[in-house]
Amino acid sequence: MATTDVTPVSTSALLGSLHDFERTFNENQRVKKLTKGWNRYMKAESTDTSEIFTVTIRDLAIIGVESGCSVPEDDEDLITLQASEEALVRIFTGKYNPAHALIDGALAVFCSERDKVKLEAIAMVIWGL
Amino acid sequence: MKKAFELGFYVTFGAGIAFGISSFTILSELFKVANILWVVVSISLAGLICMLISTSIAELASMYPSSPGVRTYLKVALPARTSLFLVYLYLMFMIMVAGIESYLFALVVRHLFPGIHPLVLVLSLLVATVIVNLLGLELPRGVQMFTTAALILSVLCLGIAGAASHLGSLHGNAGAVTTRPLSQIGDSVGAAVYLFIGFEWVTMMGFTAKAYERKIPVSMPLAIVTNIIAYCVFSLALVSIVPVKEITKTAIPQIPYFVHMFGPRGSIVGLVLSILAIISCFNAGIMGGSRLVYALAREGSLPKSWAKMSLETGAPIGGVLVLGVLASIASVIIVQYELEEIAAVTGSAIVCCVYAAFMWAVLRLRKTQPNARRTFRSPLPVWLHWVLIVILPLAGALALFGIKGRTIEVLSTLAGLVVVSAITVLWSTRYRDRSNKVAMRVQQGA
Repeated sequence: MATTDVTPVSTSALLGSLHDFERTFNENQRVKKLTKGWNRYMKAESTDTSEIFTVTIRDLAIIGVESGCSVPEDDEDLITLQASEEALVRIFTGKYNPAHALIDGALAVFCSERDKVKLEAIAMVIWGL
Repeated sequence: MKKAFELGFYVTFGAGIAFGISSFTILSELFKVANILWVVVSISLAGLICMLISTSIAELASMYPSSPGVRTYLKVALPARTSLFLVYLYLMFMIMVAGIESYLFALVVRHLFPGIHPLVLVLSLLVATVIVNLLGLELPRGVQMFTTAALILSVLCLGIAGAASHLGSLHGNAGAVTTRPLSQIGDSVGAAVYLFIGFEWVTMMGFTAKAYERKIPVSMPLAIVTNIIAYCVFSLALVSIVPVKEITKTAIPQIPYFVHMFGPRGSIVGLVLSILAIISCFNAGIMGGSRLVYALAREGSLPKSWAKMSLETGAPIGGVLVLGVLASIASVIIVQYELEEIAAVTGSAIVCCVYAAFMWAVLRLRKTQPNARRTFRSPLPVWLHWVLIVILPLAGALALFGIKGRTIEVLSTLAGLVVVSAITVLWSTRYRDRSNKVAMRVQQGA
């Protein structure tokens, strides 16, 4: 006999915020200017829930948000962001300035200085932070 | 190979940023208060203390990897105004070092070209460094490693080569008074800490999170040991060839050393080493200092315009310009009044206090955030933390009395810096409050 499972599906808050970020990023024309020729994998790693998601930025747009990260750690195109889930959600929804988060010690970013600047510029352009 | 390269980069970065032209000045200072035995003991002791401190800094770095070090470590552990006060003192120390290094570089160049006014050289160096940083030009990591390795190996090899045949004459040229050894150490350890300052900047350079588990914690003591050996060998070499009176009367004792070794061409050797030191220490200091200014401006403690960043190159334009201007002012003052020694010992005292604050921050965070992620934990027992928290400011304070006949000037300089820091903290707090009120009004209006 078939049963209907009515257990609510739990959606990761982080994944939800990354999908929101994807929409905002792809709809913003100024971001496209900023990311010309800038193809990157952005790994968002939650230090308290151990979730990892990878955002792929290619040809002026975010083309996917996947669970886990198949990009090698030493890949030059990999940007790793580490923080608690709450901090990451607030950052990707524009409620927490990533530069402030870095100084507060709430966020760790591993990438070249130019990529850090690019991320900050994206946050400035999208949310005016 | 990549792992070896990564560790090698961290070690050379930590060693290079601490090894500036002013390191030779400090060696000259040490010979004013201690003989060769106690100079070597003081250097080793100061290095050992820094190695112990590095374990605490490594713990802080593992909690806050990739953060702007000094700002974050103090911000999370200390009351807001206290942490800002110490950060401003540290920033002023960095500005003074820029002034000291540029002045000493000018002295070295004038050995070859005595007709050039020191101010011209100082300001030219600063302008050139500012332009390089504004353009976002950075040395590739491999080149950075090479220049630092070349500097330290040269100092070691030239030290060994010079000293080898003269060690027998060491006893007759041992240096300052041989009585009262404890007072010799007391006067010199605080100043000797200056020789290693900057090793902690490697904590911002981690390639990945994993680096903070072992490579970064290990790289700092390795960098310090490298420098201990280089400084001790060079000190022995210095005193075995150059009369102590000649060492202590110059701020650039490496020049008479190389002149004794190579004749007049020794000045060229000194210049080449100074250029290597400028690349590894001075430029890194301007870069690091400008990023600290950028971080403070981004968090609202300094004017927003100082956070201007080039989107193409990633260069913190605002920070570079501000630091360049302030370093130029510091350089002019140092050149005008020959304050390089005073600036160096004052800087040592400041950093001793900042290091003590780092050690205190570790203990405080263990209490307030016991469950926070620490991928590295300092193996030092708590009592040793407390010993260092007490000893470091004392050593710094003793260093202030190390320049005979200029204590009043030293204390006045420190007092001036403390007052400027305190006023800047008050200003920052009001500026931030005002900016927040404006932002709230804009939000409510929207």
